Amino acid sequence: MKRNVMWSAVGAGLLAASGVAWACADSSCSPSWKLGSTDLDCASNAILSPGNDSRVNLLFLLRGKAGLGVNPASYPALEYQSSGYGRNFVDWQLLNEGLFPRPPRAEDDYGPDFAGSRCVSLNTGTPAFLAALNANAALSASERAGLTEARQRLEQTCRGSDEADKTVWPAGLTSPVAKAFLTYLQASEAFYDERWDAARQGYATLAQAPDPWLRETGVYMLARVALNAAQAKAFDEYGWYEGLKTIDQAAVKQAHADLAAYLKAWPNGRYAASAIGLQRRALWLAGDTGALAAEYARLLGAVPAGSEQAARLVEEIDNKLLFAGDRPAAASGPLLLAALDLVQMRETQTYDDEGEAQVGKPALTEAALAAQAPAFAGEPELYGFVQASHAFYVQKDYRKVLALIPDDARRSEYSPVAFSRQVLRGMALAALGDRNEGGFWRELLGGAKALWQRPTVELGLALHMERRGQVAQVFAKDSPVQDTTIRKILLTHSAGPAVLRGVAQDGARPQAERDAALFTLLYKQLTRGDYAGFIGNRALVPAGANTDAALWNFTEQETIPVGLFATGRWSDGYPCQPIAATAQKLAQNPQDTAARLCLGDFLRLNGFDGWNELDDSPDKDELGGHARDFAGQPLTRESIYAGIIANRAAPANDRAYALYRMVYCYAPSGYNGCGGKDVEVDQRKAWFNQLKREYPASPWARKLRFYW
Amino acid sequence: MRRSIALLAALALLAGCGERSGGQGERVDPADYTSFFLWAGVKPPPELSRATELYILGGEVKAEDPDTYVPMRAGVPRLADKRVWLVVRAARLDWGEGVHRAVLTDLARWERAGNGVAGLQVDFDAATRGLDGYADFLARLRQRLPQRYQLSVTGLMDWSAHGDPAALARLAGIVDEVVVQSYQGRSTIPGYADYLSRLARVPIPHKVALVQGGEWQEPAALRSDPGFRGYVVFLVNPEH
Repeated sequence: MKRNVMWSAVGAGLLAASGVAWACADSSCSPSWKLGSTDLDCASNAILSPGNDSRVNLLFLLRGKAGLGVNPASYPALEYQSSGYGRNFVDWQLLNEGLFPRPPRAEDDYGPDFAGSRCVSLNTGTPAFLAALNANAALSASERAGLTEARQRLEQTCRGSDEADKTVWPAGLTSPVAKAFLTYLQASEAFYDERWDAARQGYATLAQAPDPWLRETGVYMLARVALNAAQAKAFDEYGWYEGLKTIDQAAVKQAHADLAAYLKAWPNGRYAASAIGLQRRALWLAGDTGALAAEYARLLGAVPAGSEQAARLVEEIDNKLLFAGDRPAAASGPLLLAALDLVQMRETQTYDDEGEAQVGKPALTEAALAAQAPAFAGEPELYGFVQASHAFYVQKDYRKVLALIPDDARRSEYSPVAFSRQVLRGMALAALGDRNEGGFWRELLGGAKALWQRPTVELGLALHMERRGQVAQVFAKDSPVQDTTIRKILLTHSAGPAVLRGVAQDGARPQAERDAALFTLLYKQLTRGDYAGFIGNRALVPAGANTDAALWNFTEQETIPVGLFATGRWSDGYPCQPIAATAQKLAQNPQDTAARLCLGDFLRLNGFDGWNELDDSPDKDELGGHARDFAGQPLTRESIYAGIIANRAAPANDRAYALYRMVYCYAPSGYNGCGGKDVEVDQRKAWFNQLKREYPASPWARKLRFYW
Repeated sequence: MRRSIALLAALALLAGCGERSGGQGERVDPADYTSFFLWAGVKPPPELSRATELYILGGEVKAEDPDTYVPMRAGVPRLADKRVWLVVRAARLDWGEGVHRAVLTDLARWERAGNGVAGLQVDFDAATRGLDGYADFLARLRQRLPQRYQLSVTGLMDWSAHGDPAALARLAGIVDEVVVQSYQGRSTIPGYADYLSRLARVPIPHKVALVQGGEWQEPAALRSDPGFRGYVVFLVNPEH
């Protein structure tokens, strides 16, 4: 059973919102295999959806508006944590890797120094400082040398080195310009050392400095000092960011004024781009999300949509506007509004006094959305989509979705918004049980050409066919459902024996898909009592088939250990023949106690304990959660042993072994590792005593020394 | 953005990852302890003021990039009256030179800010079978670490049961302590008492990490374990 655990990350000021309090050893993402959701999932669909990462939604919107679509040259390679995505899901990192592939870093490239701190500008500023020294003819060579060396003191400060205290500033700087450069360095050291007043005083004197670089840099640095000073009380003694209430608004005002002064004097200055960016920081520190939203709307209109810069802008917007923590939510312009509207269609979760999660209403009301009509003027397609999304996810009025989004499934290609509209229409047809749903998805396949688009439509079609009891048709020769992950999910959860056998033998399909089908067929026949079927199909296991691949990523892994059914382990004490012989005996008599115990040992010795991939089902609304074409119920070892313990006529050695194994189900953890229900320790003790009492001479009684 | 993480129960080494909390033991109450893990995104609770030792997450080396140290603490702590450990969570060990520098820089900056810096803790989920390779990494890291700092690692309970004695002995020569995690997610791992009963096998001074609110009943064996140095409680945000 897949479990999604929600953690709220705190966007802590300087950090990207990646601070997830998570102590679990391993985490990876297994998305819910369905289209669209109001639950934030760990991976995103190829359609705009409330459950998507809001950054993915906004980048889709931005690229779509520029006519770019979201279409890297090929699917990015999945990594360990994304191995469950198939070709239906993407996450922010994967999307970026696909759109902006990076060459490996050079050997001598150590990456950004001092990332995430104000010292990030230390090394990048070195060449500019040296160039300024060289450019000023009034400096003597020795003054230049002294100042160059003195700048290294700043690095010691940034590194937190004790040397910083010991270094003395160079003596013998007598010319006014050399003294001005020294003042700059001393102010900069104060800046990196968080002594804001000293930094401010030093930089302020540079306004009259006999050097143009110092004059310009001094004014710019005054603004940076003010921005940092504004946050001087924002971090508590644990380094925790205390939020807007702790920001010094007088310092923010000062920063605004300093930035304006800089840009007025040097509109195309060397720090102009940085100063414009820092104006956003000042707005953010002021909590003025309205002005910030307007600025982001302007930038979204100006940034080249296909550039990596656009993706970084989207990250900033997400962090500073859409999830601005203790600041009011705000949006401006159709793209930001649409992105925020989708976020506000999510279900909110609160906890009651007992700590139970309560699902709350989405923040966006129908009336509020209607009031946005003027802001969406000129974007009727997008506005219609947002309204239809609200109708679908919040109002659950599926006819309204159909009214808002006419059928347009026969285009030759789709922008992200146009595609999202049609998929949403398909979802509404599904929700209504409309008889045209299947035909609609088939038509939409024709223009679903961008990456992730075709598998998205295939998922819609596969969900439809599964609900209609047409799993076999998904695997028919002319089936349009070709995505191997979608097919494997249906094979493992929904398909019946005939389909599984057919796919196992279908040479046109990938080997991993065929192996998954054969493994599922053999496992289910063996555990659901179709022993004759098992014997017949076991011959399909190829010679030399793998036996040692793990089973935990069954629908994702390339190698399936289907050889376990031919050359697995059969016995480690209790005498058992190969599983084929055991199945043969069970085919003749399903209640043969020795053969049932051997079936249990086969499951135990080959790693099936606790492995429920083929026995559990996804949720009802997910792919594989509906059809059950394979008859019968899963088998647990617990039920084998319980049946034999209850059968007083069973052979003595078998009954003793069943008791022995049943006690061992709880070793050493005290939890039942054999499947089925857990019993209290009294019952475990009773089995132990029963074995000792009724079969004192049995080797199993002699071997068992504890119960757990 | 807020994100959800789906757990592969499969990868939980033991009975499950945050799946059940069973048992009748007591719940871990921070009020009963003095040493804590403080992770990113966890708001420091008021009772932290009486803590004597803190393991604070400072940064991460993520799976996607071994050359980048991602800072995880908004500001530098200023805790003169506590033993402070800088914790670096690592998804991989092939750290670039820039990461090593950044870690040493953080240690120095924390020290300069007046913290009583005890040392560096590496939080890497070393598979029990991969301990030897981990020891190589830690040996190299130790060489670069100024002598005044101690080196701590987090460990899995499974080390006590299945750790290769030779590999553990080697680790003992490199690290000053291991903090053994008894939880996954917000829950104590079922069967912890069995694992911890063998903790004395680990020839390194060890602490046991508990999760706030998780089940906990001190196994008797811990009290007589000569290597046991006490508990560290992983703080979590309240759920409501």
